[in-house]
Amino acid sequence: MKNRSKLSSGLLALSATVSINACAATVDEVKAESAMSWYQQGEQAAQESMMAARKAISNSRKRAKNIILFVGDGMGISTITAARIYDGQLKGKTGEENRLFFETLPYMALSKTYNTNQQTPDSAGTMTAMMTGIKSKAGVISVGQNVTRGDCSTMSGNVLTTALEHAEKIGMSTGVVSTARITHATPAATYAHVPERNFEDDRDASKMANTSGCDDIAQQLVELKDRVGDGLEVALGGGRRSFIKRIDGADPENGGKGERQDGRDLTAEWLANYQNSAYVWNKAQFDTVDPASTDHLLGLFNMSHMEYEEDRENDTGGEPSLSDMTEKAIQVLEKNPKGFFLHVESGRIDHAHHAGNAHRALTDTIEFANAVKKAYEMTDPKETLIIVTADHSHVFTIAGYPTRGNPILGKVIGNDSAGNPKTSVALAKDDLPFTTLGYTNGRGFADLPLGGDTRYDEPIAAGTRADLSNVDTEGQGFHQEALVPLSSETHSAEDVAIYASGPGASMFQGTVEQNVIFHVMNKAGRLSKRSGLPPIK
Amino acid sequence: MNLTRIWRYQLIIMILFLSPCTHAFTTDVSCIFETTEQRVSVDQHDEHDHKARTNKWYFWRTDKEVEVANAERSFGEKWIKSNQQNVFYQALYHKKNFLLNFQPVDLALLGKKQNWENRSRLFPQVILKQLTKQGSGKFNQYQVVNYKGIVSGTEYQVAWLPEVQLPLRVEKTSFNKKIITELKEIYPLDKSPYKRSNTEKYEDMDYADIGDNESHPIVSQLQNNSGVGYFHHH
Repeated sequence: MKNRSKLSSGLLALSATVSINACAATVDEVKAESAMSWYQQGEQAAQESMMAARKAISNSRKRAKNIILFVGDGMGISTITAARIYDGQLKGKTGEENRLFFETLPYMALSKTYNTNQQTPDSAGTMTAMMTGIKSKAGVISVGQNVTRGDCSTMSGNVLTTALEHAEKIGMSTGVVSTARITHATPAATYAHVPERNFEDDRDASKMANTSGCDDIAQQLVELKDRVGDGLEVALGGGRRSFIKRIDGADPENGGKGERQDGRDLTAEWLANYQNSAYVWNKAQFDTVDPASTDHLLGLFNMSHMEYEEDRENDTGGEPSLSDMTEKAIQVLEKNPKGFFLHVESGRIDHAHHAGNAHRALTDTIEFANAVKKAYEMTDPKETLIIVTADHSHVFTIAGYPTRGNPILGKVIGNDSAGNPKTSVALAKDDLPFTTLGYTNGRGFADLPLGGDTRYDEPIAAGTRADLSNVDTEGQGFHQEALVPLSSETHSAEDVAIYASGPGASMFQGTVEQNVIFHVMNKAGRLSKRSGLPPIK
Repeated sequence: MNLTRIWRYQLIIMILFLSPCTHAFTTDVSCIFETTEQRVSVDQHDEHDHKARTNKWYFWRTDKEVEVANAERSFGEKWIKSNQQNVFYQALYHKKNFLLNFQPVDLALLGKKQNWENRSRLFPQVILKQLTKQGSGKFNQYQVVNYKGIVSGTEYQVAWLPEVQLPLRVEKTSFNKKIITELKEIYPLDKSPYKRSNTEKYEDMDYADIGDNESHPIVSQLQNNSGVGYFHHH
């Protein structure tokens, strides 16, 4: 009897596995859902969790040879939920049952993101926490909370060792990839130490109260080798202007000036510093890089930030995607038998939210998930710790009672009293339709031929309602309504998610301070134990 | 061959060879313009007093840069042409020692891709070519060529300075609006009493970074109104 019961449970689990592992449901599959199918699905999920937990116990002593820290800048939980639904809908499903790839990673925790001096944090202080194990104030890059922002003379005794620096000291290969400027706060916190996030190149010295005692971020990237290890093996992103001279023609793409006033061409120095090195600035060049014969790769694909994924094909020089860059980075880094540390950032989910353009925030999030999937497929999960998280969230909401499968970017169409979809949009108390997605603050509604940062050129329209009846709210140029008028939408203070797989991933449990992320990487990789570097220099 | 004829032919060839050079214009100038905008009532029953608004503004030009500023010198705009003919744009907030940088891609996205020729000459040449010459004159030491005509329903009267490729006067009349721009003063750039502000030390920010800097003391003030900059109407 027991055996038959076990057999039927096994068959049940097997059949449930088929439905669990299938993609999100089509409309027909939704109709086939039943109480029993939900029960079976839940049972299978619990079974998988149990197996994962058992594996974790046996895996817990294994050292992570490779560590990859993925950060979706501004990718709060509402962004993940909306992107998951959008991704599913783009595949012809209702969307709600879908999961972005990183949502399938077995371990999860919540991360408390506040800075030491700000309830709602910024990217600099949050990435400092993740990379050094020490929370700090807003606006500073891998230095402690006792510094005075903008004053390098206060850095002494406050310089914090990053996970990347530990890895370099051990002899691991290291890489940084971002769709933002590679000198922007999040990637910068992996390799640089400055008390002002905006000190990206020497021309930014005017923004500093005192620069004695620190170099600009771009300089620190190229000169990392003088501080620890042999320097970065891979740096891919935007921000070319901070690496080239402030003279006409310095920029090979547009012929404009760079920012550097010290006469240095850091791209040339990168090439001179290393044998088997390469510097590329467009996709055509990037595609020709042979990772087998390239040991140090610098790619700077835009003078400032790279394009949103929605607009990437329009870039004049041609840009690789985040997945492309992640793939190439791993191909270069994995040659090192000692392993590697890689940070990958989707830097512009945040920018899209600031502009109030959910479309670009979601499409960048979907591409971010593709990059995580690429990394997972390229690495051995038994020896690679993959962490996926956000630095902070945004005031981005999913609201109303839209019917199942309602277009996530669309206007709310609810259900009737029988629970079936209505045939017309829901109306608010002002008799106007409203979208599922919205923002608490920001510039508010706009419907532009081209959306995104173009929003800043149009008047603030928050706090007033627009008649969206004839507006295509699913278009890329639509900017959602907002309540509180501000010059740009803000970050928010709620916790963000941490997803993880690989050795040490099971250490992510419950609600943790954001700096615990470093300590999980540290324990999993035995980083500080092997490097001998102190947490504070 | 007769030597006189040879010399005459050589002189003609020289003139023809040099003629493109003699048509080259003076690029480096500094000017003061006034633009007056007036609503024209089309309703005989309209009793509103449509007062004209006049703005004085500064204009500086080199072969690679065009810069304008308002009368108070509190705000300006600069267009910079690169060696590869791309145009960069800066919004200049002089009183705040602050500027916003726009990459060419930002301008394309904003639908503000710049026609350098129109920007540096202040009047679209494609329209000028459709107007009829009306005669000529003099303004100080400069030749003036007068044009007039209607293009796409808008009436233009233009007094053009071919030696500096700038308008002396443009009167543009459309359905209910008349805009008149007049050159008041012009100097060689290096002799102008009106010098451009040195923006090299200004704090600068990328347009794409506005979102990250909502709490920036200057950015939050800039964004209270629609857009940045102001437009020249021609």
